[in-house]
Amino acid sequence: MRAGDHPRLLLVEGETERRLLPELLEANGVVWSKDEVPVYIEPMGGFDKFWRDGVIRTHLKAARREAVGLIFDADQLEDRRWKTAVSKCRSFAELPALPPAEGWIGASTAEGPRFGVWMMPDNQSRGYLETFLHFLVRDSDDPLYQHAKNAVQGALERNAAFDPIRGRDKAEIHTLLAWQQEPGKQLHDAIKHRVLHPESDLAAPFVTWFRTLFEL
Amino acid sequence: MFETFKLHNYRGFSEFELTGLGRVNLLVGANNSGKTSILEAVGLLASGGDLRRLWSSMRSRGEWIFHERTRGQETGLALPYLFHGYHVDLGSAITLEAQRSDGERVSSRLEVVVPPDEYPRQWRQGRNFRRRYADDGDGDGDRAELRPLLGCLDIKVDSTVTQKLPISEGWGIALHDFIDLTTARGGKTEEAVPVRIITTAAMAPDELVEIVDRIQLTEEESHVLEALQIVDKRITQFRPTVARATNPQMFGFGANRYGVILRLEGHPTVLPIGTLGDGAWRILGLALGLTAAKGGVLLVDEIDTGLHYTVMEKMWRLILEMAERLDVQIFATSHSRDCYESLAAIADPQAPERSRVTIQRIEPARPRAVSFSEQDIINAAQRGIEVR
Repeated sequence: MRAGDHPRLLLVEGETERRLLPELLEANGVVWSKDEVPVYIEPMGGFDKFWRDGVIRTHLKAARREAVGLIFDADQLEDRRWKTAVSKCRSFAELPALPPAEGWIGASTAEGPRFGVWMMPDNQSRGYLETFLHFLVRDSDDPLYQHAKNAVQGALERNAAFDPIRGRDKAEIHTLLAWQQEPGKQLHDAIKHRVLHPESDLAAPFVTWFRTLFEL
Repeated sequence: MFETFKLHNYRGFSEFELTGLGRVNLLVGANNSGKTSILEAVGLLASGGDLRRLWSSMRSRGEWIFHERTRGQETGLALPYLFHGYHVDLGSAITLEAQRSDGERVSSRLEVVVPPDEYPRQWRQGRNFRRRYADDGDGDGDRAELRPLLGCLDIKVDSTVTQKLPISEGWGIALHDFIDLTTARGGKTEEAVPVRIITTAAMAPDELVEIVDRIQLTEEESHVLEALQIVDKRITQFRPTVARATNPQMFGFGANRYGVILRLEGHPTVLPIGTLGDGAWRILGLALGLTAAKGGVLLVDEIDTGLHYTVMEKMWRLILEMAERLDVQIFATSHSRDCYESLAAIADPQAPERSRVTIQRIEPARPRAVSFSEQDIINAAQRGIEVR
């Protein structure tokens, strides 16, 4: 099935989300079969690409479409991205001016499929998917976790190349993963092997949003 | 051009609406979703409520009444099939309305009313009813109309009743009542707007040949030739053949692609168009239908019939170009993905707000078609979005 055909479609920014979300959701009880995925996850290639050519509106018109969801990072100016979403979606959905903490789900146009929006990490704060992953760290008091954060800070002080604002959350997570029993694991594997803890209470609102939007 | 179209109480629909219409509109949807009914309804509105144009398709579907009369038989159009729920009674009405791109609204209403006390002369002249006339006993020599009428169908265009048709037993409208109307109007069929229909069976040979004849040596002839060349580049000329007229028997039975001959480049002999197969006939029919529908509406059921996917893009290009030049609005149906994906090739990503090309998905549960603009059509083709 292509993105075009599946009754339930989730548009995300990139490949990381595409690989990671099924692991996260499956760990939270959503059955995810590779042959018949419950939701088709389509990477758009960045926030700006969501809004090109009215693609979302076309996706909403597809035959037998039940629901379409969007997930994008809040980035550093969280209200700017949300405002963009509100304005770009105006012709087919009425997003609230302020993003709700539980994520937004509503109707799209008259008789259209369900439409939902989630702004990572939690619709309220700045950040990215990787910020959300920090919520999945088993024990935030874990000294190793603290050490990973310190190490990243130290790296920045030694002129490490990554973006100190945009890249910090990601660097911290990957650093932590580098020190696990099987180092160098990819993010989705980290969830699969429970290095990160998908059933964390902090992940629950996202899982609930997903299950409600897609009726799974 | 219609921008929106709405119907009430017609066939399978209690209400239905098409919006965001453009010059070329492709209706898609599951089998039995009512695509053909909507084509029919558009044609009915465009032609000013002219029910006669429904006759041949209703007949082929078996939607007719038949009565043995004392003097011969009477066949006619069975009204219940046109009304939603097959229910007709005094007061039942079908409404068709549209908003045109110039802002004008047009509407047509078919309503079953009580027959007038004074039956119009042409009703009383119905051939098969003569025996039923009888002196009404009031001594003035007039014969009273004894037709058993269940009602009268008033056909209104905007707010004027343009036709009144008697409804006989079985809620049918006898064919000869339509014929009488024609004579009453001096034998001319007035059409509000020229409407041409091409059904799945393609254009009838007689009609096609008549149009070919008409365009000989006109400017349109070269455009129609271009159309034929989509199917076979070697075609250099086409003509109606006189042989058909003198030998109707020979061409009558089983021959359904006759009456036109072709010249092919590098080919010494003249060929009948039938040699080229279904596709040539089909494209010729489309081009001629467009020509004949100038200023009006062309309805094409199953537009991709007989056409290979490789010619579809060229077909759409041709259709859009001719439709724009001749000011024809087209409504077509199709089941095929190739058909609508090839529409994307002629869709313009920079299209202005009003689309030239649209796809309308008919879903029985929804009172309004899902309307795809040019941009939507391009997106759908590029991303494999299922429009049907």
